[in-house]
Amino acid sequence: MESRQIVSSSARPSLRPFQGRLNLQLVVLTLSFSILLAYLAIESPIFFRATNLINVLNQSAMLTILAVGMAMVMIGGGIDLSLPANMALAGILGSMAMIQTGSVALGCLAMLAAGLAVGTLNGIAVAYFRMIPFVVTLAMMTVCGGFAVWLTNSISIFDQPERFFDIFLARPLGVPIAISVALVAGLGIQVLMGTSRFGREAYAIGTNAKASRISRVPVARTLLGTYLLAGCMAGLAAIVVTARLGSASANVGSDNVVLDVVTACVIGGVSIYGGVGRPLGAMLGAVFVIVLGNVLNLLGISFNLGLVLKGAVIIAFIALDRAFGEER
Amino acid sequence: MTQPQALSMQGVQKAFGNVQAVVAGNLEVRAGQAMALMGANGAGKSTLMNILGGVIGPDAGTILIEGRLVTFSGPRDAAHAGISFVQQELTTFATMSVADNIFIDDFPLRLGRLDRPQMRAEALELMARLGADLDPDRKLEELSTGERQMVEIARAMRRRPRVLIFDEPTSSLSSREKHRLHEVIRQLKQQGVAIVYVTHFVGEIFEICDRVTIMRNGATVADQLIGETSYAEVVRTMLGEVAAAGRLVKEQPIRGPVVLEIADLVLEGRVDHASLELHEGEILGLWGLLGAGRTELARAILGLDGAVEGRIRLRQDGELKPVTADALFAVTAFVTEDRRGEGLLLPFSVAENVLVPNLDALSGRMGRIHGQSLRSLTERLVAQLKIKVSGIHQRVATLSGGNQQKIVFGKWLASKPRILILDEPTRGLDLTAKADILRLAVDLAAAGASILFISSELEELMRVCHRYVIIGERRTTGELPGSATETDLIEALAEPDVRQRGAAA
Repeated sequence: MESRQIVSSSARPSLRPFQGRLNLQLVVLTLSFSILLAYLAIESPIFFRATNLINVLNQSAMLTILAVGMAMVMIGGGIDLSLPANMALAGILGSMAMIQTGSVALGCLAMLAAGLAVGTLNGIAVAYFRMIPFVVTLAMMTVCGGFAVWLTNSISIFDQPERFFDIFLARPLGVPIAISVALVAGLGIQVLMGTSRFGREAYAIGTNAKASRISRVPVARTLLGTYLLAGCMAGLAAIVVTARLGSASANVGSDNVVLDVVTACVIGGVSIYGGVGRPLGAMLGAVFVIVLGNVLNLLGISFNLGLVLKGAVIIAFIALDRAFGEER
Repeated sequence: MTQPQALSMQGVQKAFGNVQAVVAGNLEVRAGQAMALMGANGAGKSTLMNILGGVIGPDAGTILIEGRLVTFSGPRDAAHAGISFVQQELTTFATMSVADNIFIDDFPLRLGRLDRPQMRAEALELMARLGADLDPDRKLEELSTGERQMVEIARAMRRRPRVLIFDEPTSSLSSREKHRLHEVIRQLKQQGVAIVYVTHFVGEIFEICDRVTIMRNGATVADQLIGETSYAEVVRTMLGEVAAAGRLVKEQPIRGPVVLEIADLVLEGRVDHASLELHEGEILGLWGLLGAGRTELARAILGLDGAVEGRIRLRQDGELKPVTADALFAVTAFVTEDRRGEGLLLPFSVAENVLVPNLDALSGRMGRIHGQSLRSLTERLVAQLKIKVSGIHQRVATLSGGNQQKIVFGKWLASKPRILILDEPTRGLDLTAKADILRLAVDLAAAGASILFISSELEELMRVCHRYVIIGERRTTGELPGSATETDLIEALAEPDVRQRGAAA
C-alpha cells in the first residue's frame, strides 16, 4: 500500500520545489489587483488600451528588476535596503564611463560592475562578518546615496551617447526593450531560485540557517551570492532607468523607491522572515505598486497620502505573513 | 520533628493529554536545609517545579507550606506564599544597573517616581545577606556570570522567600564561581531558608546538599540523607533498573583500523580536553551525564562552533592525516539532538530534506537539480527505512517523530558517510521507532561506517556499543570495553569527581 502511494506520487510531472505552500499574500494580491483593474475598467477605460498598458509595464520595469533582486535576498533571510541607492550610483558611474569613453558597452558594463561591487560588499559584511543585514544595507544606502550626490552635485548627467538611447529605447515589435529586459531578468531569477542548487540553498538558509549549516549547506557562500546577484539587478535597473529618463541622477534612488521595492516583495508573497516566496510574485507585486500609483493619481490622492497607504499595505501584509506563515 | 516542613508536596500528579508527566511527586524540605532534586531527562522534575511555582496546576496532590495547605492559581500566588526561583537561564538585563535588575518586577515608587535611595539601600542589604559586595549602581554588562547570578539570587531573595529553588544554577559557572555560589547557599541555609537544588551534576550535591530526592518516570523514588548514599547509588537510582535487553552487537572490540583520531581537543568554554579514537565499523559510546559536554564535543569535532585546538586526523588513502573541519564534515553525518530545530527543514517536503545535504551529488552543471535522481533516491530511502509517508512530497512537519528521525538518517545515508555522529538519536521516540533506529545504527556499522553514539540512556548504549569513552565536566576521562557492566559504567562516572576531591583535600 505504501509503495503504491509512492508510485502514484512520483507520477507527477515534476518535482515541485519548495517555495512556501499556502501563499495567502499572493491570493490577496491577485484579488486586490482584480478590484483595482475592475475599477479602472469603469472609471478609465483608456487604461486598457495597448499603448497605455505597455506604458505602465515600461514604467514598472525598473521596480520589477529591483524587486526581483530584493526577493532573492529576502528568500535567503536578509534584506537589502541599498538597492535603489546602489542603482542610482551605478547609473551615474556608468554614465560617466560612457561619456568619457564614448563606449555604450563599456558604460553598461560599468553600471553592472558598480552594482555588483556594492552587492558584494553587502554580502561579505552579512555572510562573512555576520553583520545585521538591515543595518549594513541601511548604511550602504547612505554611502551610495551620499557618493552619488557628491559625484554629481545633484546635477543630472544628460549627455550619454545617442547610441545608448537608440538601443535601450528601441521597441522591437512595439515592446520596449526595458520590458523585455525586466521579463528576462525576472524569469531568469525565478528559474534560478526555483530549480537550481543555489535556489534550494537560499530557501533552506532562509527557512532555518542552523539546520542548513548542519546539513552542510555552504551558508556564507550562498548568502553572499544572493546579495551579489541583487547588486547586479541594481546595475541592470540602472541601465533601464537611465535610458527611460534620458539622464542619470542621484534622485532615482530616493527613499520612496526603497518603500516600493519592499512593498512589491511583501505583497508579492515574499516573506520578510525568509525562506518563502517567488521572484515572480515580487514582479507581480511591482506592477501592482505602479498601477496603484496610477490609480491614486487618477483619484487625485496626493503623493504623501499615497505613501501612508503604501506603508499601511506593507504592515497589513506582514501581519498576514505572521498570522498564516509556517513553522520553521 | 516538632517544626513542620518548610515545604511538603505530597502525591502530586499531572498529565498532559495522555502523557502522565508526574504520577507520584513527593518533596519535603525543612527550613535551613538544602534538598537536591535529581532525575534523568523526562523524570518529571521540571513539571513538579512548575507546579510548585504556580505555572501549572496539579491534577491531584497537596502542597503544604509550613504546615499550611496552599493552592496556587498563578505564579503570583506562589510568590506570595514564599516560593522563589533562581532560573537556569540568566534573565538579567545587561544595560541596566544591579539595583534596577533586582527590582525589575516591582520597583519601589515615591510620588510615582522610582525611589532610588530606597532601591540602593535595599539592594545593599540584600547583597550583604548574600555576602556579595556589588555596587548597586554598576551595570550588569560589567559583571561576570557569577556576579550576575548573585543579582539574580538577590532578586529572588527580595521577597524573603521561605523556599528558594535553584534550577541548574552552576551549568554556566566557572569552578571558582561555583564555590562562591555554594558559599552563598550555606549562608542562606543558616538564615533558615529552605533550598531546593535542581541539578544534573551528581558531584555537586555532595558538597552542598543535606538530602537528595530522586525522581524517575514521574515518581519520587528516593529521599535520602546525603551521607547515607553515594555517587554511584544516586546515578543508579536516577537511571533505574537497566533492562537487560539483548545486545544488538557482540561485545568484542572492533579491530579495524582507526578512522578518526581526536587528540587533546580543546574549545574554550565548551570542551576542556578530549581525546578518542574511532575504528572502522565501530560503535563508540560517548558516556556521560547530561551537562558533561557530550554535544559540545560532537559539535567541536565538526568545527561547528569555531576553530579548535588539538589534533584531528582522518584516515585518508590508508593512513591517518590531519583534516580540516570542512573536509571531515564532508564525510560525516551528524544527527543532532534537536531534530526539529536542526535536523530538518520542517516546512520542506521529504524529498527536499533529502536533497539539501546531497546537493553535490544531485545537481549538475549550472546548479541544475536532477529531479529524477532525487525522486528515485528519496523513494529508495523511504522504502529502505520503511518510512511511513503519504508521498515524497509530504511536508516533514506533519510526520511522527519516528518517521522524522528516519528522514534525518535517510538524508545522510544517501551520501554514504564514513563517520556518523548520533546525538540522542532516539529522543522522544516510541519503543518500536527506537528499536528501528538502533537496528539501523548497528547495520550501518556492520557495513563499515564508524559511529560515535551519544545517549543519556545507559540501556540503549549497552545494546549497541563496542566500546565506551567516558566524558565528565567537559573532559574525556577514560574508556571501557564493550563488556563493561552497568556498575562499571556508573562507577566510571564517579571517578573523575572522586579524583578531583582527592586533589582538593
